[in-house]
Order: sequence, then C-alpha cells, then structure tokens
Amino acid sequence: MQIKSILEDNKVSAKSILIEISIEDYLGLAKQIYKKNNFQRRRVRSSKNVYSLLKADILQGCVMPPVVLAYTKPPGTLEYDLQDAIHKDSEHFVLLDGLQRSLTLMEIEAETASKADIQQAFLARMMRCEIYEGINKIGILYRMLTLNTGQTPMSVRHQVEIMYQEYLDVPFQGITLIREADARRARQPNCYNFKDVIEGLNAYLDRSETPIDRGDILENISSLENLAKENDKRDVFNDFLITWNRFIGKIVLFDLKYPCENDTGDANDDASQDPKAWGTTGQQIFKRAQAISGFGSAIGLLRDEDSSISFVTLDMDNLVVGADGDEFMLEFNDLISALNSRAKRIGNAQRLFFRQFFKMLFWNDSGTYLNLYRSAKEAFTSANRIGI
Amino acid sequence: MGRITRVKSFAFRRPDGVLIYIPVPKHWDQTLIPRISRGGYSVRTLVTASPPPEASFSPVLIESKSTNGYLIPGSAILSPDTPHHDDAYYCAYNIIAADVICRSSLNGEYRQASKNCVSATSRDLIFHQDLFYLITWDSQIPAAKSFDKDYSISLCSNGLVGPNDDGIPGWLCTSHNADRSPLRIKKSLELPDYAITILCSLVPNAVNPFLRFFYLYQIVEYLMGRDFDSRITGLRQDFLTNQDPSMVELREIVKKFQKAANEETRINSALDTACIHTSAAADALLDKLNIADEDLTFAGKIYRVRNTLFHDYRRLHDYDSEVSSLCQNLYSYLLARLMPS
Repeated sequence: MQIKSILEDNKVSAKSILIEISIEDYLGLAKQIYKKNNFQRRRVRSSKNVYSLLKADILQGCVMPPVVLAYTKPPGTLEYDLQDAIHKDSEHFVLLDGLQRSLTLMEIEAETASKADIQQAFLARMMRCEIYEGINKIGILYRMLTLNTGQTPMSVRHQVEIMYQEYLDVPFQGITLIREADARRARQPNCYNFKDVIEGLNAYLDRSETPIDRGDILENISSLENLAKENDKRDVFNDFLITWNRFIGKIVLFDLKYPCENDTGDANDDASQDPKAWGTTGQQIFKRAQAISGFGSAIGLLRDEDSSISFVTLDMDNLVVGADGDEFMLEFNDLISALNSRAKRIGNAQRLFFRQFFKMLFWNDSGTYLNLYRSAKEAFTSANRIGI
Repeated sequence: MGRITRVKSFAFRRPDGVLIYIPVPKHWDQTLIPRISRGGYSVRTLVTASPPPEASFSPVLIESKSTNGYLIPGSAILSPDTPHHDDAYYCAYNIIAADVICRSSLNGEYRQASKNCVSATSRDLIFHQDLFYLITWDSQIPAAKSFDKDYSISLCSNGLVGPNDDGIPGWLCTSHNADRSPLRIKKSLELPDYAITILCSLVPNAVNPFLRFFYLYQIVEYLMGRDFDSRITGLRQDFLTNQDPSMVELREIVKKFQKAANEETRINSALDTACIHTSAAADALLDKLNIADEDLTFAGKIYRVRNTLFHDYRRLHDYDSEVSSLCQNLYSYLLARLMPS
C-alpha cells in the first residue's frame, strides 16, 4: 500500500490522502471497522441481478470508485506510518462512503473460499481509498453528507450516530450519554439517552422535529445547507449537548413536581405510577425525546430567522417558571392530556408542541420570552392552530 | 403465541428483503400475551370519515356480550406514546395486529401494511396511519368465516368501511367516534353481494350526488324486489291451493297480482316505515322543484325524486347539495333497514 496524493480540504480543515491498497489489506481494516461499529450494520439488498453483476464485475477486475474513510488522529500520523495505521489502528477509522461496496467485497471473499486461485487473485488486486486525516466531527458529517448522494444514502441521523458513538458512556464536561437500554441511568442528572440526543441534533440540522428517518437525498441536502451555516471551528454537537444540559440543570433547580396526595418525593418515579400525570417532575417532562427534538428544531428555525441566535447565546440564566410550581405542573400535564386526546399521532403532536414551546421560550419577541408557563400555553394554542 | 410470555420486538420484511425490527414499548402491560393463541385472530383495515386520533379505540362486541375484537388506529400500533399502555386488553389486541401484519410480510403479503412500507425504517411507515385496524378473535365470532358478507353492513352503518386507493372515502353515513365505548356489531339480513358492494364501496366513493342516489335506488329496488317475491309467493300458493277457481276468484287473484306488480305499490310496501330526516330532505328538494303534493307518502317522495332524476334530469341539475343531503339521510335509513329489527 502507498500514498498517491495529498490535498488540503479547506472546507473541513483536513488533509485528503489518496492511497492504493490491496483488497486483502483493505478487508482486514474494513472488517474491524464493521465489527466494532453497530450503527453501520445495515445491508441494503439490491435486486438479485444487480447484486450478482457487481460481484461478477469485481471478480473480473473492475476498478471501484475510491472508498472514503476518515482518520481521526492528528495530521501527519498516516504519512509517518501508513502500514501501522491500517493494520493496528482501526479504532480511529470511520467509514464515510462505501459500506455496501465493502460488504460486497467481504461476501466475495467468503464465496471464493473454496477456489484458492480465484480468491488469491481477488485479494491481491489493488483498490483506492481516500482518507480524511485530522478531520473534526462536523467536518466528517459534512463530508459524509456530500458523499452520500448515491443510490442508498445513509440518513443524517445514522451518520451522526456513527460519528458520536465514542461519546457513549464516556463522561464529557460532566455529561454522560448512555444507551437506550439503560433507562434508569438516563433519569439521573447530567445523563442523557444517546438516541434522544441524536434525534435532537438531527431535528436541529433538519429544522424538523418529526423523527422520520427517511435517509433520502433531499433530506441530506437540506441538512447539508443548514450545516454549511455553522461555524466550522465549533462542534455543533458539543454546543447542543452542553446547552441542553444547562436547560435541564435549570429545570432541576426549579424543583418542579406534580402535586399528589401521597407525594413520595422520589423524583425518579415513572409517570406510569401516577396515572393522572404525563410527567411527575419537570425533569421527567423535559427529558423525553419529544422535548429534545422540539428544542433542536425550534432553535434551528430561530437561527434561520436570526443568524445571531445559536445554542451558546440562549439565555438560560434568566429562565423563569412564570407560575407557582404546582400550577405549572398541573397546567402542563393538562395541556399534554388535551393534546393526546386530539392528536392523530401523539408523538408528532407532542414534538410539535415542544417545538412551539421552545420557539416561544427563546424568541425575543414572542411575548412569552423566557417564561415557561406562558410559553407552554402559547405553544398549545399554536400547535392546535398548525394542526395536530 | 403459545408459550410466549412477553414480546420484545417484531420483524417486518420489506418487499426488497430488508428486515426492520419494531420494538414493543417496554412499559406496555403484556400480562395477557401468554393466553393468546397465535393464528386465532384476523386483522382488517377500516376507515371512517377522518383519520382517527391515536388515543382513540373501541372494544368491539360482535354478536356477543363480551369483547371479541378491538378497533385500534394504525397510528397507535406499537406506539410508545399511547396513553393506554396499562390496559392489558388494549395492549394484547394491539400486539396481535402487529404480529399478523409483520408475519404476513415474511410471506411477502402486504395487504394490511402501508404503501410506504416499501422504504420503511420505522413503524409509522409500516402500519397505516390514517385508518383503523379491526382485530377480531375469530373463535368467538359466530360467522367469522363469512365476516365480510355478514357484518359489513353493520360496520358501514357505524361509519366504518374498507379504505379505497386514495385512503378515505368521502361519503359515509356517519363518522365513527372511537371514544372507548363498546362498538356492537350484528349480522345483517341475508343480502346479495352486489348490495353489499353498492352500500359499502360504491356509495361511499361516489363523488357525484346524482350517482349516489342512483346507487341507493338500486337498494330500494332490491327491497322492492324482495317484497314482490314474497307477495307473488303468497299469490302462487293461493292459486295452487285452489284447484278449480271460479271466475270471480280468478279475477281477484289477477287483481292482486296487478297490484303487486304496480311500481308505486311496490315502493310503498318496501319503504313502509318512514324516516323523518329522509322525508324532510326529500321535501326540501321537491320544494325546490316546485313539486308540492301533500298526499305523497314517504316512499312516494323517494319515487318522485327518482322519476325526476331518471326522466327529467335537467330539473335537478342545480340542486346537487339538496340531492346530497337526501342521499346522506336515505343512506342511513337503508342501512338500518337491512339490519334485523
């Protein structure tokens, strides 16, 4: 294997390194990336003919377009020892474009196992890889979106998941992202469900609170346009997460609890324990996926109207409940209950409600700016007006 | 579901072969799952006048005093947002619907899945979002094998019919409000297939009110024909029991036959029970047409409208909203007539 060309990519502040590599060496790396990365295990089935044709072409020696990888170690590492990086450092590689081609190569290897000469010739053949070195995560996302305009693009959400999975279970500025299965931990302060945060960021990039994971080209282009507005020196994921954590921190400080006759005072109780309440604490209300998606979408829309608005400029310090805590909790639960009974799709209606809630809460001219109680009432009215 | 005690997820196979896994919300009450006999249930798609709210549902009692079915909006199937997660019966029927639809997909059968399932990545693209799923416990239903023939009219009279290609038909007799109160379904009178097709498919989808009236009048004619048959059978019996009728008796029989064959007599006999709403709608239309006849019976009014529509269509041309109103009322009336009293 050898480096053939190095170009500077100024848009994403990274080096683009083109290498030639044997299929055997590439498969060694690809299998490691595939093995460690649960989020990439999506095989798209082509029709039988297309599938067979691709395999036959590759066996005949057809040259595939370069597979694109990102290498997250500092610039210069690859140039220093390419062999070492490819063979021993798979953990720092991310597959940006070429998952289906890689899977096809793996299948050809398995299918030619009984024909040693054919397999040997296949594995010895050279292919090209393009590697983005020293790239930050938003740069990777940007490149993934620009690359994935083929037949089977990955959804933005899927790509964000792939990139930020290393944040899972690793504390970051006092915040921990955890897997969906660990619901109990997700209720703890400064702990968030990884999937919910990804949904929230996707809602921001997509300017839409609905969770439909279409993965189509139009969705990707729309997100790409919004991503291009971001400052490439900042990591929007970090900003998003830190800001959301500040908001939740403020909610915890307000100590909002649903008034009930036998109040146990356990903030971690499930809402299902009190059939009257959708959310028994402020934290429980706002830690739902609907809330974080609504938040992402609302801030995205506000930013489109006023580019000076960003996550870091949101005035969390001056948020007020705007009513007695009990009154707020009763009113909020009543609004959600009314919303649920009318909504064609409850999840979407709640997401829309939260989008409107956060728009009202953080829009200077809303008339309910920074006031939780009044923003909730206004959000209910406007969500109904828009149509639930 | 045999010995299954709890369902974690379902696998749906898209037409392109990709498997999509849909989780069953963890907080759902699944205490009835071990009692379910997989394969003993049927799932049908039904629509009402507008897409149902996700939180709505109806327990269904089909010729039974206890619940043997559920009507659940497609948007609520395996939805983590449903407020009824602690209702074991609701959850069981909801899971059965998902099971039937997902198992069918493994056999390449997508009749009850949404059109969007081709590129589905989540449950909302697999299950129809704008209609109801009717899940029935077949062994508890007297006529499960002839379900569509026997119960379509009863469902239709509750504002529930099968979806059309575009989704929701525009003209139903009512809208079903699935407000959690029981929906009682009964067997209709024995009907030919064409009558069921007219009432449950053609009328709800006919945009033109004149065409709707035409369709509905086919049902009136069916009722007239049925009444005529029973009268003729009576006459034939009288005739056959009298081996040597006198001239007077023969004249009497012929007179009765002529009377039975008279169209006005037949419609009066078929529509002998008046409907005040339909009658008022017919009056409004006849007023517009300057047809004032205080002696007209309920059936006579319908017959008069029919004659005008069939023989003097131009007079009705500008009164489509009045015809539409008449159709709406006549539709409900006829559906009620086809149910046992």
